[in-house]
Amino acid sequence: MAIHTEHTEVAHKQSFITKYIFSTDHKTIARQYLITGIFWGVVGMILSWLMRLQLAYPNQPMPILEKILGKWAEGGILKPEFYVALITMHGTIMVFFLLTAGLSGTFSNYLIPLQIGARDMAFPVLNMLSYWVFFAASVVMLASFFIQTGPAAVGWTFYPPLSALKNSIPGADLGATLWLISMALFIVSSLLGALNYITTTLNFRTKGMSMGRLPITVWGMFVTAILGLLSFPVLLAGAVMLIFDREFGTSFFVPSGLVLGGQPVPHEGGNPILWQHLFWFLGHPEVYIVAIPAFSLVGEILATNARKPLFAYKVSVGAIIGIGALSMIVWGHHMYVSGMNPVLGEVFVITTLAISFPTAILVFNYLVTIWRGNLRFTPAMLFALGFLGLFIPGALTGAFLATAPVDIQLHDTYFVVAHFHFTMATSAAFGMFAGVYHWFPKMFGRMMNDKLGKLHFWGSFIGVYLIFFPMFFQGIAGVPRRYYAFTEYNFTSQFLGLNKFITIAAFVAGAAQLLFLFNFFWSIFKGKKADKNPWKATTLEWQTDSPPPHGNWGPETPVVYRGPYEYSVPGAEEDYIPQTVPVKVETK
Amino acid sequence: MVIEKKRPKSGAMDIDFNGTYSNGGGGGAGGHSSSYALPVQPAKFGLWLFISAIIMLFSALTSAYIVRHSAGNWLRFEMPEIFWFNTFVLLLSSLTIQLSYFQLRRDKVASFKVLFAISTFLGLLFLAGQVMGWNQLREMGIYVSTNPSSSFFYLLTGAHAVHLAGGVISLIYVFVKSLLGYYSSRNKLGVELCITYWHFLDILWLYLFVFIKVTT
Repeated sequence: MAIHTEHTEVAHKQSFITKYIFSTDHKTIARQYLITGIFWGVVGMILSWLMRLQLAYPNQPMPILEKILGKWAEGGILKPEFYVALITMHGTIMVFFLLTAGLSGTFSNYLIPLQIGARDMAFPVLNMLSYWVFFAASVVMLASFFIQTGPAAVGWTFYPPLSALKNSIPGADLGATLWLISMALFIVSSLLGALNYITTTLNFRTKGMSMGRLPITVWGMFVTAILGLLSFPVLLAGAVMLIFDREFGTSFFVPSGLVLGGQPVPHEGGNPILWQHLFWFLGHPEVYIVAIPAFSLVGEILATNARKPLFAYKVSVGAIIGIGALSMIVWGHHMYVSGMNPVLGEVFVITTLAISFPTAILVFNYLVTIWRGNLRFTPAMLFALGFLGLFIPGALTGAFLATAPVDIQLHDTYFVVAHFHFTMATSAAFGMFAGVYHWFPKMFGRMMNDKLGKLHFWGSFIGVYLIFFPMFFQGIAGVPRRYYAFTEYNFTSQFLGLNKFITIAAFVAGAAQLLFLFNFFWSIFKGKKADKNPWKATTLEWQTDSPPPHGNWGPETPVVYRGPYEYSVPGAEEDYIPQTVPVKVETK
Repeated sequence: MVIEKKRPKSGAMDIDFNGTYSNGGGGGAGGHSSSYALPVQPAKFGLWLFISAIIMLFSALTSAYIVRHSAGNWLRFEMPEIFWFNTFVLLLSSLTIQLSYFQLRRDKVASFKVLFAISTFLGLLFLAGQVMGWNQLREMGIYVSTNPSSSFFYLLTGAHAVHLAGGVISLIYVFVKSLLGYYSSRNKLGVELCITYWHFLDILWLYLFVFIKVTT
C-alpha cells in the first residue's frame, strides 16, 4: 500500500505553473476563485466608502480624494458622473464578481468533489477554463476604471435607453462597452462552471453516496448551478441585443421620438421594458444564485457546531429546490412601476409571496437545528448565526416590497437598498465568511486565528446593522436611491446627520474587514497547523488530509454508509459519526 | 498505451491518474462501477446541459421577437430563396452525419470518414450560403438597422451561425482525429457528441426558419 501511494505521488509531480496557475485541480481553482473574490470584495468596499463620503459630506472638498482619483474629484469633490459610476461598479462587482463567482466559484469547486467523494470535477479542463475566463472578465472590468470616459455609469441593471445610446453620458461610452464584454465573458465562465457542478454531482458520487446522503451544501450548489445554467443565457441574449443597439444602430431597446442634446435619435420603435424583462429574468434567479450557496454553507456549519443533525433534512432539500424553481417566475416584482400590465403585476405578487414559504421553512429548519443544541461559538458559527440575523429582517421587509401597492411607494428608495443589502448582500457575505472560516483549515492546512475572527464578526455584524437599518427609515421617508447628494429638499436633507452616522459605521465595518484580510493571509503562512478534522465533522472532506492531496483521497475513494449529519447519536462513542463509518449490524 | 489513447478526453480522471485509481463515481470512460451515477456518460450529459443553455438563449431571443413583433411597425420582407437551399443543405448534412455514424458502428471506418467529411463540407456550405443570403438581403436594401424585423432576422440567423461555426470546428477536429485512426465502433464518444450537437443545430435552424418565415 505504502509503495503504491509513493509511486503515484512521484508520477504526478506538478510544476509550479500546473500546480498554482494553470491548474486543473478543483482545490486550486477554488482557492484562485476565493482570492480573486476577496480582491473584488476589497475593491467593491472601497467604492462604497467613496459613495458614503459623498453622501455624508456633500460638496465639502476633501483634497485627499483629488490625490487618489485625479480628475474624478477635482478640487476634492466627487463628480456626479463618477458617483453614478461608483454605484454601477459597486453593484456589478459585489453581485457578480464577489457573491457569484467568489462564493459559488470557491465553494462549489472546493466542496462538491470533496463532499461527494470524487477525485476532481467531471471536466477538469473546462473547470480551469472557467476560472481563466472569469479572470479575463475581471481584467476587462478592472481596465474600465482606467479609461478616459471612466467605467460604466448607467446602474448595474443597465437600463436602456441610457445604456443603449453611447453618447447619452460619458459613462455609457467605452466603459459600458467594456462592461458588456466583461459580463459576456463572465456568463461563459459561469456556464462552464455550472456544467461541471451539475455533471459532477450527478455522475461522480462515490459508492454509497446517494442523493439522499448528500450534504446540504452540495444540494445548494447543485440547485444554484441549475439556476445559473438556465438564467444566465437569457442575460447573454439581452446583452447581445444591447450590443447590437449600441454598435449596429438597431432599435431593440430604444424607443421612438427620443431627443438627445437637441438632436433626435435615429433609432425608432424599440421597447426599453423588454430589456427589463430579459435582465430580471436573470436578475432575480441571480439573487438566489447568491443566497442559496450561502444558505447551504450556513446549514452545514450550524449542524456541525450545534452538534445536532440538520433538522428535517429532506424538507430543507425540498425547500431549496422549491426556492430555485420559484425564483424563475418572480422577476416581474422588480418592474411594478415600469408600466407593465397590472394584471401581470398581480401574478408576480402571488409568485413572489409564494417563494417566502420555502424560504421560511428553510429558516425555521435552521432555527430548530440550533434549538437546544450544544453550541460551539467558532467564528464560522458566529457568522452562520449572523447570516440568520441579517437574512430574517431582509426577508421580512421583502414581503412589503413584493406587494405591488406598497412597492409603488417604496420603489427606488433607500428601503430597497436596505432590504437587498440585508437579504442578499451582507447575509451572503456572512455566509461566505462563515464558509471561509469553516473550511480554511481544509483549504490551506492551517487554522485561522480565533480571536481575530470573533472580533471581525462583531465589528461586521454591528457595523452592518448600523449601516443598513437606518436606511429603512430613510426609505419610508421617501429618500430615493442612487442620488448624488441630498441637499436640495428638506425631506432628504433632514437625514444628513444620519448619513454621517452611517458613513462612520461603514468605515468601522470596513476596518473590521481589514482584520479578516490580515487573519486570512497571515494564517495561510503562519497559522497553527490543522489536523484532519478540527471541527469533528461528519462529512467526507474531513476524513482526508488537510489540505487534501492531489486526487483528494488515497488509493481508494471513500465509501459512504450513512447520512451527512449523524451528530450526538444516542449510544455512540463520540458525538459524531463520520459518513465513512460502516453501520454495525447487530446479530443476536 | 493504446487503451489510454482511445479513452475519451472527458474522463480526465483516467488520464490524470494513469488508471492507477479507480474512479469512485463511476464516471470516467463510461464505466459505471456504482449504481449511484446517472446511466449516461458524463460528457454526453454535459453536452445536454450545454444544449439546454443554448435553448434558453434562443427562447429568450425568440420571446423578445414575439413581444416586439406584436408591437407593430414591423417590416415584412421576402427571405431570399437561398435560405431554402441552405435549409436543404443542413438537413442533408444531418442525414449524412447520421449515416456516417451507422457506418462507424459497423466498423466501416473508411465510409464513415467519407460521410463525415461530406457532412463537414455541407456544414461549411451552409455557412457560406448564409453569408450569401445576408449579402442578397443587403443588396435588397435590408440592413441590420433597417427595421426591428431585419434586426431580429440578422440577430437570430447570426447567433445560429456562430453556434454552427463552433459545430463545424468540432467536426473538423473529430475528422482530423479520425484520419489519425482514433475512432472505431468501440470508441466513438467524440463522434457521438458531435452528432448530437449537429442534430440539435439542425432542429434549431428549422425552428428559427419556420419562426421567421411565419412572421416575415
